[in-house]
Amino acid sequence: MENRESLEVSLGARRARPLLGLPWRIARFARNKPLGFLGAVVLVVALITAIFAPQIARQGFNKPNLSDKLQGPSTTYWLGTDHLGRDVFSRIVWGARVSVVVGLSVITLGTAFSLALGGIAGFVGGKYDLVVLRFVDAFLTFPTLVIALTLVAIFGQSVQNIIAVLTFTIGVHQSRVTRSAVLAIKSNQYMEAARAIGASPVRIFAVYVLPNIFPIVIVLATAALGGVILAEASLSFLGFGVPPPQPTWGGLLTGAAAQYMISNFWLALWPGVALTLTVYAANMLGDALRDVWDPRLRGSK
Amino acid sequence: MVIPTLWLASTIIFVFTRYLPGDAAILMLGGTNEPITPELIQQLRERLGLTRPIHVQYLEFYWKLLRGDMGTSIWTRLPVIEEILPRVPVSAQLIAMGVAIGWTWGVLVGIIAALKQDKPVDYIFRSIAIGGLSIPSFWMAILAIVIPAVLWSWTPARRFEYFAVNPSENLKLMLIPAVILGIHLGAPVMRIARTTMLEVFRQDYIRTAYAKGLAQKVVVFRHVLRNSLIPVVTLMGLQVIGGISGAVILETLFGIPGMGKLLLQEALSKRDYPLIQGINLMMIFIVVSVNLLVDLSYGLIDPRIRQQ
Repeated sequence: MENRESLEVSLGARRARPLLGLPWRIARFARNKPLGFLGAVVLVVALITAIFAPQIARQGFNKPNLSDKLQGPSTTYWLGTDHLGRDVFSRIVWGARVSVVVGLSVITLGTAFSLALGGIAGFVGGKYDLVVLRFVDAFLTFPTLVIALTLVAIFGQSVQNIIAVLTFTIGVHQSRVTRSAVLAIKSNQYMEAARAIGASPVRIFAVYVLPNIFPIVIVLATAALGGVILAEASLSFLGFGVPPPQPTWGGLLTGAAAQYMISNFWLALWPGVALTLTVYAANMLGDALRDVWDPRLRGSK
Repeated sequence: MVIPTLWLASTIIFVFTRYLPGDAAILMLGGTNEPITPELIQQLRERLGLTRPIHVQYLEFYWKLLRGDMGTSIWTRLPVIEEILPRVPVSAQLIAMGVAIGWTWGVLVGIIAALKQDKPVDYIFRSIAIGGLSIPSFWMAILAIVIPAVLWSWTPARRFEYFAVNPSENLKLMLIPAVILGIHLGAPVMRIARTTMLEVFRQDYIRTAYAKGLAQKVVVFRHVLRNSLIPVVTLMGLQVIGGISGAVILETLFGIPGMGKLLLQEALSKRDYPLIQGINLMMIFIVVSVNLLVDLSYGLIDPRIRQQ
């Protein structure tokens, strides 16, 4: 969300680029932005972990084994066990699922929502735009975590509700940038040309506006991914996230496990490492993509 | 701008919190050991004024709000405003300390990164800034409690002293949570400071300053820094918003009796909706006030704006 200001300033016109093969473009990205590429690799690893959690996890995530409780790392329990003898490694692997599912769905739905709210407001303009903008500005005064906590408390704790609440929050936040992106596109001559040949507003929006703001939307979505994963983890940590028994990275750091962290340090360490690494990777990738697609920053090099 | 924003934001909160009462009524009755009957819930809803038409509730909400009345807590029966007000300075102190720490490291590191643009130092500092954005503050807090305990068998105290009662002890206790908050809040400051510094460096008047033979130190601190401050100050509003979110977590973990702890441990967990509503209102009031102050301060920093 911190990227909003600089993104908003930088929405200039963009030149057409020669079409290159995808592998070539990825290779070029890896060469120019090694850290961003590394972030992408870490995210792919997290995605694979989430998809193949049942195969990767060595034990059931919720299988207590009281005779093996609070063990240090070993060949059986790679990252040790918690106070109920559950395998920490397996719980982290399963926890990746929540982060990935919530992260990806919130980013996809939230971006769609921001297009529907801010994109259309910028496109239509006039009074509708003004009303939406006022509403968005008012909503932006809410601290994200506070409003998310409040909404989850109101509507109840479940994966669907957490996705809905974060989608709404992120969507409203992003709609400002989406709106300015559409406004920047609107003044182009090809928009006038499209109107002149009699294209309907719906067609203009779908065929001329959406493809042109696509790069900005992708950058925006990637930049927000880390924040969404962090928000979900914070909710889970505070006990307002995905309810147990489903393990979550935020949830692994709280509750009964917290009492054993001083004598069993790995309980505090590994879930946090997994979480921080994923969020860091997402932020690095978002930052690199912004550099690549941001005409203003490109000029400054 | 301030009034419509406050009005809209409070309306959003009013709409959201109207979904709560059913829950709250059942929760409240749950504590009384009586069987919960629909009649009991109905009685309670009437007593709480929830059966009246929504527009009447809405007008009454504003009528009371304008006189500083946010209703009474369902659980403690105290006026919500009395529950919240003593907590405000505590949260404000934590956020102010966090912002101060964040700005200090953010601006300093931003200057150095801008001066060394595209050199290894720049990359390292930018990576650190992204790291500051990425480390969850609750994990930093856990590590701040656990690591000293493992290494030296020492843990930060989970008690609290008010600044007015014992200033030095208060600052000592607030330091760790404030630093954690500052690590988070400084990251965007660093990035904006770096970007604007680079922009200002390309201005003609900077070339002039160098051309007339000023030392680099003078150019950086007198000419560049002051002109790069405006976007950083604009960030202040966002910083306070982020600081409030951080305060909810850190106050709870370090046992600091601020608004965040009140929200989490008293209001949300007990579904005390007048209190939830009141805390939300107080928070947006603070954010909007800060935004207003930021707008007013532009004139002080930038003479060009003052003249308009």
